[in-house]
Amino acid sequence: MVPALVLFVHLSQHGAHATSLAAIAPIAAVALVPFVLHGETSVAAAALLLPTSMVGAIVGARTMHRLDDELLRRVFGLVLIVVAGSLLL
Amino acid sequence: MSVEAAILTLVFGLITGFSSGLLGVGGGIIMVPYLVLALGTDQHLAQGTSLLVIVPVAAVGAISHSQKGLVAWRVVPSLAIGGVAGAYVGSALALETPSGQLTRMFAVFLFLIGLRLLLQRRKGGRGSSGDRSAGSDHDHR
Repeated sequence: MVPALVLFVHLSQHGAHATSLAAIAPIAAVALVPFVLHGETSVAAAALLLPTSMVGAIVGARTMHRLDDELLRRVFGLVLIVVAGSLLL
Repeated sequence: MSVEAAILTLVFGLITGFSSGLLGVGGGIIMVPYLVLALGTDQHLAQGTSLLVIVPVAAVGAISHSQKGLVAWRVVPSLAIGGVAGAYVGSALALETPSGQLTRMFAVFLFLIGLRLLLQRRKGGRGSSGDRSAGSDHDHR
């Protein structure tokens, strides 16, 4: 979604990251429904992940506000490649 | 879950939330690999759990960004409607796809996007190809 917002909607990298997050909340809520219905959610793991991840989200957002657009895009691209690599290996 | 795993999960929550706020992603790209690789969670259970965490985390991050005026609200309704339709179909497909195959499809998809972003020339750069520069060339004429 972030690359699409930059390429096709011509948002800045910062604007794309912010707008993407605002859209992800309702999208994830709907996507969650079939997983809940199939019992494919671990409430125990979610309970551990939630408190610290919400604090992290605020710190991450504030960090983003301090980075320039070019650096933000490269960081984003690098993270995707590292995650993809770790999944394939 | 062992005490060590619980502590690691708390720490990973922090990393996930930070990435979400910084990168504008749900955190699934971090959380799903963590749950699958470190905790040995099944891919389907990992994706369901990840979505459960993403909803409040994305909301908190979006509120923080919107306080800085960075959210393009005019785009959000169409993104959300399109995304909701796609997400519902995607979730149903994910539940019917074998876990190993789903992991590899997800990885290849992420790798291609990452490569594109890393190698993309600076926007508006001379001689760069792409929709944006084609548009800006046109504007100069």
